[in-house]
Amino acid sequence: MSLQDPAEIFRLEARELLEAIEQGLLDLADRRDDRDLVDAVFRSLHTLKGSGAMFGMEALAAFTHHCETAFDRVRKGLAPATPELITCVLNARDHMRALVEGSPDPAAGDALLAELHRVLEAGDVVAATAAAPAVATTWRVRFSLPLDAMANGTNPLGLLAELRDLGDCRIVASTEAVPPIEDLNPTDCHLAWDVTLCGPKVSRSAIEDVFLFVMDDMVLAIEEEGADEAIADAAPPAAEPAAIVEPTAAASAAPPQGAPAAADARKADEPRKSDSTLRVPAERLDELMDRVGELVIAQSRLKQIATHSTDMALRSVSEEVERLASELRDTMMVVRMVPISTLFGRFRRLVHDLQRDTGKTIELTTEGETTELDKTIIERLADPLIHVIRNAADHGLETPEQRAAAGKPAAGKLTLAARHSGAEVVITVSDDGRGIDRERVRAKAEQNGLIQPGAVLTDAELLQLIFAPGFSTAAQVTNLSGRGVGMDVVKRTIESLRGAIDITSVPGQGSQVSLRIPLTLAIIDGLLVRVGNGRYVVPLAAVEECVELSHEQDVRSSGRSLISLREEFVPFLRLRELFRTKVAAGQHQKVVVVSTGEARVGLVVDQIIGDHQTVIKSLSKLHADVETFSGATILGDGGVALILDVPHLVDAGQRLEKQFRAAS
Amino acid sequence: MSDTSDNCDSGSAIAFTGAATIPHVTDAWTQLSAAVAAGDDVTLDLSGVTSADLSFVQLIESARASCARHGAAVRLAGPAEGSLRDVLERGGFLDPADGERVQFWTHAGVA
Repeated sequence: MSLQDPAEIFRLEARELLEAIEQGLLDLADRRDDRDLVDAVFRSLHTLKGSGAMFGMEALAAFTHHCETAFDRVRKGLAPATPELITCVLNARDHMRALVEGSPDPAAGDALLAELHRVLEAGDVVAATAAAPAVATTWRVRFSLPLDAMANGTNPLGLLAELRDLGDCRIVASTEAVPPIEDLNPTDCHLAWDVTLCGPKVSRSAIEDVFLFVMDDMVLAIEEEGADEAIADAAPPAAEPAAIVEPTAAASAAPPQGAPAAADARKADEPRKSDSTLRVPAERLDELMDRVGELVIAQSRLKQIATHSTDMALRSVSEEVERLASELRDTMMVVRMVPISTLFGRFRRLVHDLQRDTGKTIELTTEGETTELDKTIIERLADPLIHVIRNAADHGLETPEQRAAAGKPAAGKLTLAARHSGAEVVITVSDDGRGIDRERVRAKAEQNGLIQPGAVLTDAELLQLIFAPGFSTAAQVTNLSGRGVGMDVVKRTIESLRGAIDITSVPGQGSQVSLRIPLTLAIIDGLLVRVGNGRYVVPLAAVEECVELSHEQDVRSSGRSLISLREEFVPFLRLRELFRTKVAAGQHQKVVVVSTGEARVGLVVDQIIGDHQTVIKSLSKLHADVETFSGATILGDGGVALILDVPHLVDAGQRLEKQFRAAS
Repeated sequence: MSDTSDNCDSGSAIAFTGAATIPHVTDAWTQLSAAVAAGDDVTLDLSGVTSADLSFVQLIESARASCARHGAAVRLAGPAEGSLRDVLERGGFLDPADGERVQFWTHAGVA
């Protein structure tokens, strides 16, 4: 994709506008009298329509026009912002999204418009009793555009056409400010217009909306005919056509109506769109990240060569390159990070729809929205989290009646939280519902042949069955969940991100699903170790400490593998045995103690080589099932080292220890 | 847009053809400003213009005012038609209040 591709630029902007519309509508559902919200939704719809038309997306512009009209009526107090209207425009927003992405269902569009008109008509009946009959007013509008307006693609004829749409219109072009031909830059716009408008639809805000895109830099004077003073709202004039009021005079002029003046003041206070933000396609960041990865590998080779060299200058340069590569890597990581609020925001709509579909009242709370995560990971987390939230709403939370019977408040609580934990982000979805029914889980697992009848399982193992393929305890298949496809997909997706998923549940009090996700998928700090002839990388964030395993300890601990660390026994795994290496063990084996937060385990290695910036390469599909390794990396000498999957090894170590404990 | 110019007894004549829109307006300006600088009357043949926008109208209005300043005139060989006429109407250049301008563009008297 090229940044110059206008259609793609439009789509990016449209997605942001659609997001703003959705958030605005959801806020409005809670605060239906908030005029600022109504205005914000209207402005976004208006901008979307205008941009759509500008980029040739006529279908989008035409469809959005209906929603804009609906919100215009709300804005003017001609119709109320009813829940039906909000839901209807939310659905229409989904259709707009389909139009933007080029996959619309025309029949759906027609049905939505029919529904919108029905809702509006119903609203009109309500409003008709309160609304005063509209009176036609005459307005005089004088304006000139920024000099570069035409060169930048603004078509003044389009603005004039919009003014004509408002009512009876007389337009007179002024050429007074057009310079002599020898001084004329022919692409500049020196024209000005004097427009007289009359009609019941005409209002100051309607006129201002016409100039929404260009208002910041233009000269605009709007007068209600017969009013003593003009109200202008504009930046200092680029030219000074005689007919146009000075902005300073306009600012001090007494407004004829309170509300529009307040709106004008707000608009003037609004900060201009920041120029300090640069929009870059994600693919370019991925490319850049790949290059940084290659650089890190090359730097690793350089370091290796320098280490074996006596050339001090080479060593010095190598150290400098290492430092720079490390800083570049860190900077790159930061560039790719986006706050998780971009993800959480989407779930407000989901919960809104879930309330409608389940008939349950759900209070969504979000915490830690500023927690940042790699953009690629955020995108890939969306679907798994949707499944988890749907499950919580559908299976976890009870109906209002059931909650009342259990002595709980009618509204079920759903909490989405994110927090940093070492080199991971932990995202939790908790509910205060009925909790997981262990007996049903067991019965279902036995019925599906996932476990033997009467199998002895720990609570955690029992709960993990929920993530087994084809597992569902829902007696009824709903359109939300209960098809048995979901939680296993969630687990697979999280594991493909090198993450882990845990579930805890207290009967009658609720459940919590925790997703532990690494901060980045690309480069990590690793500890390079040797086991036999092979080299392996342990993610440094998981390493707690390294201790020596003496020959005596090694011999003594054969069988049950435990070492004592500060009066605490830690199980350890002999990687030599795990990897079936044929080479004899060295005299000075080391134990690398790794932790997942809750549990820890020691990994016995032959040698600790040192720290290593690890560019993570995925394993091939053939090796996707190998649980001990989460990826591979290329070393400075061109060799390959496998990256150990710490959560899996910790699990394995803890499991082994439990088996020994049970046997003894 | 292609332009052809001729010198005739009463000044120079320029024929604009094709698109008279902002991507081509600088070429048109080069042509027209040279003709205006010559100080004679300029006659424009716009019958071959297939599409126009306000930048072109602004250019001709600028030429008109410049010529008028030193006693010369810009004239249209024929009334504006088609796309150009449409731009003039929509752009507010044919308001009866400015009879002279209406006459220039349409060759019509104003009632």
